Amino acid sequence: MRGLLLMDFKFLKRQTKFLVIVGLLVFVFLFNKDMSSFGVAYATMLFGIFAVNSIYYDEANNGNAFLFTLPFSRKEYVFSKYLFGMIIGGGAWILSNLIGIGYLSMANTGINIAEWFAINVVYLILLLVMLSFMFPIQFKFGMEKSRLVMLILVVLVFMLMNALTGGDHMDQLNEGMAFLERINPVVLFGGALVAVLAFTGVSVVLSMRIVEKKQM
Amino acid sequence: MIRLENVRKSYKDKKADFELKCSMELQEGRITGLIGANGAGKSTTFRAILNLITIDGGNIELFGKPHTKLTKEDKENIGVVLSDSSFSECLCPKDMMDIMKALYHKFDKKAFLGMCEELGIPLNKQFKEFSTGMKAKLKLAIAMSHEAKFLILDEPTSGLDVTARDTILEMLQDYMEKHEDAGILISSHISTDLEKICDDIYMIHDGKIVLHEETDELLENYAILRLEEKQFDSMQKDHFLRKKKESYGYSVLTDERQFFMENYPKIVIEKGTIDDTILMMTKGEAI
Repeated sequence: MRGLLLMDFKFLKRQTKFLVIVGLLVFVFLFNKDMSSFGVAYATMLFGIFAVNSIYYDEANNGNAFLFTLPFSRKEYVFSKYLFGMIIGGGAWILSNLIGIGYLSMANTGINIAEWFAINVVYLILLLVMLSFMFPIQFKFGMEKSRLVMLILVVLVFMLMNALTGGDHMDQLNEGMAFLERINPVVLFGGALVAVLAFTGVSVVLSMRIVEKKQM
Repeated sequence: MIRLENVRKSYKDKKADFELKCSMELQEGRITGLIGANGAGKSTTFRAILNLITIDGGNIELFGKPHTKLTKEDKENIGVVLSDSSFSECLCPKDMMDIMKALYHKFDKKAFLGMCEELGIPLNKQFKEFSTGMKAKLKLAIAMSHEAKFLILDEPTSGLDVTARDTILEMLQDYMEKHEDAGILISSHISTDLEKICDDIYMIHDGKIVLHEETDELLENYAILRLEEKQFDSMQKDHFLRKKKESYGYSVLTDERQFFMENYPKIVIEKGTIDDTILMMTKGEAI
């Protein structure tokens, strides 16, 4: 596991241009009081996406064949990718939060830091959702095809949302939203967290099955 | 050390179907060669042993265990070179060394650095910038850097000039001298490479093992007899393995060169090479 994580960090280290550009943009967003929360989201998601793309480095030039002769199981390989995503996405989240909190404390922007931070916690959960959504697709379809699959899925989600919010369904949706608002926010957050963790669990199992069946 | 028993794997392709059907036994202390033309099934055999593809039937055992049940410790005892795959090309040898150190308990950093220095491998240059020869040398240095009990080497000399090939073969011989209980399975379509270092050789053609023989036996006792039709008809054919029609009559493969030299002094007898033997085994008719 340590070797696999080390390899992914070596890939990250090779992306100095990516790191510099992301770093600069994050600073620009964080030091703008209207966009500082977006800066946290941007850093978190972008590093999460890098973790997903690290599969590409493994697969390029048929590299997976050699990779899977090394001393680790395919399950460990999958687990290490999720872990890497959480480490670098979570790391970016922590760092951008610290910088943001430092800026907001000193700049006297009038923003409530506790509320600002509470919003940012959601991004950490969204990172987990994104990783759980993207990894199985990436493992199954590879870099090129997964872009198309992802595009199709996003369109399907929008169509579904459109169907839910249009016509007779609007009343039902409003009722649903009103019901959620009546629930204690802590309970709501806890429920969402449990649901996301369950989704992640399913995603990890699915990814493991996909990778176990891969032929090299 | 490694045993393949009636291993079957078939691929259906638009152009042509392929079926691997082979049995092999690889022992410690020996270098075993697998030779065959491109597409004969060498790489499929390697991939089957390494559990990179699922097999349709038969059994593969490594270190006495089914190949699908190998532990991390078992995998640490295998050093691998694949002809078309390696560490990511964006990494440099130093990165690879760090990763290997984290993955293998017995990774010998000193030995690896020594091999890199001896072979002129730059430690901080990205793998994608390496020449074909340099890539091959680095792949082998990696496989030999963690005290593996068995080296599985698919075409390690492919695309190399004669000097680079010689260096690699020397490295393998040195490895066997230092690790007497180790074993090596090496494939190549360059027969002279295998002649130099292998104790025994398997020949594969169309997915099937057509011959398994000790290398010395192959080079000493195998021969091609050049026979006119009359000579062919009059001779006893007990020691004929394959025949092939030629303009002058027949060429015949035998594994009893001495017998024919003593009993038929007038016929043309050419000492067999591995290439000749392959050609006769694959293109000749069984008798």
